[in-house]
Amino acid sequence: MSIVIAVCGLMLMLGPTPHQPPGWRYFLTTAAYVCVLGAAIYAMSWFGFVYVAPFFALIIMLMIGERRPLWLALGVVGMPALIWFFVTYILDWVLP
Amino acid sequence: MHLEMIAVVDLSVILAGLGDAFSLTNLFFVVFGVVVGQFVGAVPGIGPVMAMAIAVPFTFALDPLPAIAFPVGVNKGGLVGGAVPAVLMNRPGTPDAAATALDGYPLAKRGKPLKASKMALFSSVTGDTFSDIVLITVSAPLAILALRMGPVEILALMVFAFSVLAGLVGKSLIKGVIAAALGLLFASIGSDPENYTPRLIFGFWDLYDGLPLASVAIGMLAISEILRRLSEAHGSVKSAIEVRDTGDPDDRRVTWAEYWSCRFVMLRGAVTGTILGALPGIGSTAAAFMSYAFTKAASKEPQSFGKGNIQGIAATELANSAVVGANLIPLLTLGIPGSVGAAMIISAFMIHGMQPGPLLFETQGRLV
Repeated sequence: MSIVIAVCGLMLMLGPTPHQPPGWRYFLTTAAYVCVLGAAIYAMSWFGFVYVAPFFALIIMLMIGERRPLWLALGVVGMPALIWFFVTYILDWVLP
Repeated sequence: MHLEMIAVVDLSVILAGLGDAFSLTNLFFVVFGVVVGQFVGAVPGIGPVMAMAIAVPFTFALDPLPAIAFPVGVNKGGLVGGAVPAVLMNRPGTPDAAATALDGYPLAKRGKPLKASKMALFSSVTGDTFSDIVLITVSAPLAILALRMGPVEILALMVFAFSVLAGLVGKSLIKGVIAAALGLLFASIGSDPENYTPRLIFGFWDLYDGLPLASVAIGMLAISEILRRLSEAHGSVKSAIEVRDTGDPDDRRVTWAEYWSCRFVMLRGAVTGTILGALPGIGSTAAAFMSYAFTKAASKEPQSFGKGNIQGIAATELANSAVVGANLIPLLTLGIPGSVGAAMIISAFMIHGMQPGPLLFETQGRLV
């Protein structure tokens, strides 16, 4: 299966295409998001979901362009609190 | 086998059973189950199966009929609920609704989220009703057909499904082959079902049960959506879900003309879903994608699919809901669960001392 994928990938790479690759800005934002995601997962393993999730949500919302205070508050406080309550008390799972 | 017993069910027993089914208590638990199912189906990562797993032990305190009606309601409601985030956020609540996002989300982005959601609901109800009627009337011959389907026939059917899905590839065949190969590769992760040896887990025993569907759905759809929004965000204020109101009341509802225009799509989806649902192990996700591919191939405007075609929503939601009713055919007639959800319903039967299978029609005909 991996050989099939590699051969097809090679054919795509060598073949002519009208597709325009995205600009450097797209790669930068993607890299920044991946870094934030990785850092958040790493931080959660040290400090826990409760402390890291609000900061992570805030950064992602700001990166996406959200600036409205109410939505930011809901995303930073409301959503992590809802997830924490649901996962911990309803599903009886353990969050990091 | 006692398959001949299946067909011998007295009409008076069926009428008495219908009377029981429409009792207030039973209807309450059905409605309650559907509401719970819709809620958990709409929350990605939870799903109706988990809700059923939590709910089944509590059914011990109920009478047999509501005890079985409740998890069935959760299962059916969960399928409808899964379409809600698929339409609104391009993020299916359940894997079954992944195909719904193909046309549901583009339609929502065009300012018609209510139309898309309502079409998903109406299609689900139509498909589920169709498969329930099939379950009640012709479950016995379908069960015999399903019983004759061995591993070779199932493999042939899956190869057929792959060939049908080739219709969804689009313009680039190579990209389609890569997608199919990646899908097969990811599906191979976990324990080998034949020998239970670990496969492609590289020492991570968390992967022994395969890739978690919620994680795959988040990775495929949610992360890609976040990346898309990041690429479009240039410091401007944007809502998490952008739905503009067109002001046209017709964009908020499904007209009878639109519903009627989908009649052949619905018939095709219902038959696809019912047949695949009667075969254990194939599942509603495959049925939804197959129905979508059939509909796209039969359409006079295949290029409109993936851009908010209401027929695409009808095809997928109808097929995946038809599977749920049909899943009960092998369960009730042969005692074989057609899906994980049906396996949960077996638990509800067994809690009340009943063994699903051919003898159930004879011993519990009224309940069935």
